[in-house]
Amino acid sequence: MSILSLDFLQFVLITLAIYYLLPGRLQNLSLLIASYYFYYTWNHYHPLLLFGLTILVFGLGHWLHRAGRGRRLILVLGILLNVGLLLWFLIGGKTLYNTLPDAQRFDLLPLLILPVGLSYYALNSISYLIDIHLRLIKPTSNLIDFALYLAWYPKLISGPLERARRFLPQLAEKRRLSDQDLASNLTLILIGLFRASILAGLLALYLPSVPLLAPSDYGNPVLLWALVTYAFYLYNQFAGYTDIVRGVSGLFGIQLSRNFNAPFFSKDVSDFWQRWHISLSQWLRDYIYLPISRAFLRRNPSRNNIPNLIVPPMATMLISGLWHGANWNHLLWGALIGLFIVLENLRALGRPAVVEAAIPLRRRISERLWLILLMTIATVPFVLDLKQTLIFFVKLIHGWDGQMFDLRPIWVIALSLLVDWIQHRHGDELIFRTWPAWARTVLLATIPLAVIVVIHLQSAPPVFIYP
Amino acid sequence: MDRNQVLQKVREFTLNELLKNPNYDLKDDEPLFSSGLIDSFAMAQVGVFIETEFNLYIPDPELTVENMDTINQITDKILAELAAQQ
Repeated sequence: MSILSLDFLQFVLITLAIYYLLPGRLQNLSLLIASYYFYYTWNHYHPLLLFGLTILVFGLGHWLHRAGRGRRLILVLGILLNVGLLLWFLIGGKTLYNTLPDAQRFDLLPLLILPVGLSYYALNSISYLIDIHLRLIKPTSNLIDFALYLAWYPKLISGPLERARRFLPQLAEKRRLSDQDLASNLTLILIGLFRASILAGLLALYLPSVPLLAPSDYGNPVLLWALVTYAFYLYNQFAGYTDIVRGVSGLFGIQLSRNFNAPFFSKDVSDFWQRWHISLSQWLRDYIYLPISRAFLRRNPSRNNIPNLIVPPMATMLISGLWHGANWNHLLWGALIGLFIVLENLRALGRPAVVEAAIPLRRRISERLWLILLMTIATVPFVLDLKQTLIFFVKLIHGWDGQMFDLRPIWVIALSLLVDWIQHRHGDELIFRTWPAWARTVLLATIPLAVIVVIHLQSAPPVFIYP
Repeated sequence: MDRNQVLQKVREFTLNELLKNPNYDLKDDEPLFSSGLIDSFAMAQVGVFIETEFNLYIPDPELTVENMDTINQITDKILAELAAQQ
């Protein structure tokens, strides 16, 4: 069931009605049943996997909390369980799928293809166990709440990644939805629809997919422009999706984390990673980057020590690449981002820090354009396989072959940047709520209408799954 | 160790190691990470500094911008952890 579908709208309305009709003690159970039904609509077998993992991690959490000696061993067991599942589907299942005859392949399909959402609930399980090990949280004694933490349908398919210590307390308390909360969450859904359906929808219509599929036939301006268009398409699709699911979750009184903060206004690649897919970046920072970086700093406390500057970002970004897809091209993508961060670290060596406001405007603009170019280039191995990536880069190095690119996406990209700029400038993603009544009325009337028009223009309803 | 002593150590470390500018006019409540003055990846240095200087281990997920954005906040976190140890 796609988030951008009438089926999903019906599903949300029905679950909301049931939720608010039930007494408080049954509300979480109703959300859990709804979440498992939602997952069932994606695949009939994968809810069983989620249920099995939920029971195991719930038990491991309690065992870890009570254990005296051997706590580290229990933690390692829990991490191996989740990482093993991920690796099985990312590598083992895929390899087996390619070697089996068609008939067997079909029978074993649920065991071979990566279940949607597993990339998220496996990381949620790992951070839950690590936080218990670090004694930052106690395991919940409520199995329904814990199962809902992993399965909550607005975040199940493509995040955001939530931490148990922020999510579980919300389930334990009585949730109320004030008029202000209702307005905020509906605004968030409207902004999300604007991004995912209108901006991403229009960019999808314009997206010159041919240069991305057959880069050898095109010159570098066409290729670069196709990449820029794709980068903004992906951003609006993902950011819009997140806004919608956050708004939907908020209607039940459950707040989900913000996942994007005007990433194309970042000053450098490190800054970009703190504004793009924030919940994943923070997860990687807390459970991969910081432990590695601290281990290196303990051996040599100087940040100027070269291994301290290189190993933690490279290792983190390679793991990020693997999480996005166990392919050579995704590893190359991770390595490329890691390399950009390492180069920034080396460039900053011995340089004093400067307040952003003290940097001249011209330099700030050129830094941002440079960043968009870098992130656009990094998109190549994210989209294409290794062979096509190499062809793409070779063609990019070659000169202009006289072909002109389609300029139509430029106004959609400008609109996307304008929305980001307004939110970023006011430090408030819901700033549109404070606009004059006439402006809000125009937005309220035109956005749903434009969504219908753009969906009508598309040949098939968009389905968004990330990664 | 009183609050002022802890704050001075944190200030010295921030100016010399994080900002690399001992002459910077740093306010006690000036945001370091959320303002972009220092990127949050430098939080690892803060963690190791607290380990070596105060013999305290702050878990990685606790090293957040929300908890430790200013030298006042870092100082308070150290004092709270020291108090919890006693």
